[in-house]
Amino acid sequence: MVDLSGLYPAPPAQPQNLLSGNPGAILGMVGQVNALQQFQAHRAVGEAYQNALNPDGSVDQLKLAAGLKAPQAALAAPEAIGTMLEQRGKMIANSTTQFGLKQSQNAEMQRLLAGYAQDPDQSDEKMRDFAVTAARAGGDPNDINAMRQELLSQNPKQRAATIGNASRLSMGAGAASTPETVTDPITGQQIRIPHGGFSGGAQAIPTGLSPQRAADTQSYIADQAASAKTLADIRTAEQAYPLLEKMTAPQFGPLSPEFSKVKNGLVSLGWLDPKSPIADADTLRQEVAKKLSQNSLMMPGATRSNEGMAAQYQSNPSLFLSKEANLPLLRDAIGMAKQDAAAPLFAGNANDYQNVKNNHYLTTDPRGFVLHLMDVKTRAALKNDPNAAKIHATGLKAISRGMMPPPIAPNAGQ
Amino acid sequence: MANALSAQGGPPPAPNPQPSAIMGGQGAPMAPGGSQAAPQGAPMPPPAPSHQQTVAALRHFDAIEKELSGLLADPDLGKSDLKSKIIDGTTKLVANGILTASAAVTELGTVPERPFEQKKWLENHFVQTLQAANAVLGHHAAAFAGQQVDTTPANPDDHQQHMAGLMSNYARRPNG
Repeated sequence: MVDLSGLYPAPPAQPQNLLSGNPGAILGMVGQVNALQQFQAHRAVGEAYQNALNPDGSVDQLKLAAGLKAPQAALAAPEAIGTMLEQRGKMIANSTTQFGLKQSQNAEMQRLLAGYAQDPDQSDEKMRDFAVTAARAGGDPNDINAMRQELLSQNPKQRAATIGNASRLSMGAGAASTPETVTDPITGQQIRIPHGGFSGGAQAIPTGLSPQRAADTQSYIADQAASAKTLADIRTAEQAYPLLEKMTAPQFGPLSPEFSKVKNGLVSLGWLDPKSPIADADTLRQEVAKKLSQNSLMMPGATRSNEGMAAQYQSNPSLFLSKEANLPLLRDAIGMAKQDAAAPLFAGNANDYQNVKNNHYLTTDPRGFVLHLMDVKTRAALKNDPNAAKIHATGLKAISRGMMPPPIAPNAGQ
Repeated sequence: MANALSAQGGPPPAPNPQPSAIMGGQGAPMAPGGSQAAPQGAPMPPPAPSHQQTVAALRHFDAIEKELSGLLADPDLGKSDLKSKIIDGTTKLVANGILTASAAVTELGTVPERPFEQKKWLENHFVQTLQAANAVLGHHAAAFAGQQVDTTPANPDDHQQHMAGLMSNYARRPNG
């Protein structure tokens, strides 16, 4: 028998696909494919991390997220994204802690700089002492030494100015008050208000305020607005005060030389109608009394309640009272209104404002705001007052903040 | 001219505050005295200088730096022999109580003869002085950051005493 099979082409070989082989081998192959995919995914994640690495070693989260969108990274993406978010959370927490720490250090540094700028001793030795203290407070030793080198080449006067500038730079525009010479309200002598003595002006509000800080800021802004209104309200009374002083003089009358001067003054202040035919002192007094009654409604406390308004009205100075009681009453009312208005002005910024405001009433005296309205005798009598130092300090602050003109010195003839 | 840290003799090792102590974050905080527990077998870090010692160190470096600055500004620097001027400057430092006589003699023994090498010698000392001032201030700041310490002003008359205390801190010491 001849084998004819050789005459025919051989049947095609059975393809060795995944379904035709040994099931155990298939499982092995699947495992290999999975391992390869895992390897490629991890490699893609690694590349994404490499591409997102900043020169300083930190990871650019946005670049990393973009890198993880690559199809090869799909298998490892959930794990990588979880890690990324966790790292981002840690970075935010670290930044927040660091920010808080730096803020405290800055506040301490501001306090030190302001204190040093005011110190009359600007010797080399004092500067070294300050440098060591500043380094402990969180200043960078390299920066401190660099500043020290600069200061060493300067004379003490220049040093105070340099430190003052550094203090103002670190405190912001709010502290940019230049030293000025003012007249001492009691002694009449010229006094120089030192650098950094009082800060004020614009205050930058940082983002992310703590509840305490937010309350302080809110209270500060509200008081600033109230302060402006109070000062505007009492301005007329303050300007009218010298005229009223003349009006209550015993010899004041239609024939006295002061009559037309006072009348014109009150007209210019808007207290009298220029067309009103006021010919005698009594009519003038009545008109002024009306104005003082109206003025009582503008004083702080008058608008809180009906009772407050009534009390304010009763205690308000009017020309029905004697001069001795009347003028001091008006002066005190102006002083108290100014004391209220001064709280945000003296604080200068919202830092710890509520505590600062509480202390404001303990450390200031209303009489310190109206020293310019007092005659020489009254001012001299204040020297023996138990609160003389407080009045004195208040007066200096009020002058420096522009809330009161310097009183005319005793030797100037007043 | 004296080495920046050589008030009492040879140059001690420069202070090397631990980075963790500077950051105030990781590791055990330094004790108020500046001493820090070191792992067994590791060399003990030098105790941090006190406020008065740090002020004295700055005074020391300022005085040296002032003399060095004068010499470095000399138009003959690197061109002719400045040894006599260096001796004058060192003498001034001894007279002002900044250097001891023995430390001055030791330092003057290291002054090169050739003008160009003298220039390099002065420049090296100047840089070392600046670095040492930063290092001592940094060491003190790291150890006492935010702490209330005794800030009684350092009396310049006690300069040598404060410097001796500081130098003994930085002198190499056996473990424990």
